[in-house]
Amino acid sequence: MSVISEFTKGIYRENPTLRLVLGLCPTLAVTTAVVNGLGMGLATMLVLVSSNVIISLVRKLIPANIRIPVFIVIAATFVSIVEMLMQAYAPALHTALGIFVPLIVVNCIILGRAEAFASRNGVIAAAADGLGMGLGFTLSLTVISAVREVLGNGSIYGFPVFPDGFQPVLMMILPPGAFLTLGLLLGLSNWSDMRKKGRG
Amino acid sequence: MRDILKLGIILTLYAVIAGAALAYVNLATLPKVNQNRTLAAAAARDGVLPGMSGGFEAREAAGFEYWVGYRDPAKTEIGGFVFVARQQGYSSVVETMVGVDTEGKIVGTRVVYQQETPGLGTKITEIRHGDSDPWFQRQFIGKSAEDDLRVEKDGGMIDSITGATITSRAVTTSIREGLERLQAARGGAGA
Repeated sequence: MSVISEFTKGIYRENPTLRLVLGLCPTLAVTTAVVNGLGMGLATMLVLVSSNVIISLVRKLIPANIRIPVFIVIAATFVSIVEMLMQAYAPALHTALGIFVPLIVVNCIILGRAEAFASRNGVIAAAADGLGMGLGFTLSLTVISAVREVLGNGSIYGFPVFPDGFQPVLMMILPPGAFLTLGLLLGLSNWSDMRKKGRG
Repeated sequence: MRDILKLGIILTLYAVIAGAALAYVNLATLPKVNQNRTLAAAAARDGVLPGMSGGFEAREAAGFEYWVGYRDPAKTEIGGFVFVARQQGYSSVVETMVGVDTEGKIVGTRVVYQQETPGLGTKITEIRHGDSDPWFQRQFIGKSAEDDLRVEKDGGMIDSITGATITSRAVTTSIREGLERLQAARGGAGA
């Protein structure tokens, strides 16, 4: 597969949230507002690209038996570095994202891409894979958080979209809203796929 | 056995490299992080008690830490006091900086640390569209230790946030207790 195809596959064809159904914990937990979803997606993308590149570089130096702990050490290192850099150079963003940043360590997309892709491919392909998967994750999180913020808080990216009398559906920014939105989105994506296959 | 030893050493090696990288980044960013914290604290003090051209001076009385703000650079005229109210909320300790004038009335508040549930507890800092300050914290302005600050569920006058009573109660209780402690500290020091 070409580098471009490695990049584009993560956006929809193998979208981490809708197709691989990975990383659901942050997907459900942080998508209460667009700013959180977008920030989480971008921070994850940064960690994903860095860890993919390093793992691809040292892939021949990792014994098969201990590859999982090594992947986790590498991912955790990058997450900590990103957090420290944010604290120093983007304190406002760090305050806004709070606990979500350390949570990236336990995002199984990072481990999943390390195991399934970066440890078996060259550096450029691994970087393209990380970038595409990160972008796909960011897009899904943004869509889910947009739906939840509009219905649950009556705003999008903090700006109100309804007239004053609108009563927000509080449930949408509570945990059940996350499951409802994700479920409907997965259903929609599957339905559109089945329709395409039915015609072809 | 030999295999385990070999794998253990390799994994340790990776961990050591990672540790060294982290130590380096931590060392490199620490001065900037501390500087940000100091700046943020100073900005927060100016925000909750504006107009103190004489700056602030830290004080402590019976384990209660607060700052005295001076109106003039010669530090003769006391303009007010600032303290940090702390209490366990729902998922974190909520820290609110509170500015009080010489009559004991709250001039301004600012939540300086919280890790509460996004979309619920974090609404203590929410600024509604068209407003300039958070609607929840605005309720405290002009109140003093005599006002017996409590959320309405506990029979008080502070409207709590829907779905975040625990966070609202933590902020309210910590401010009430802080005001009482400040009153005691000032009475004791005669300031």
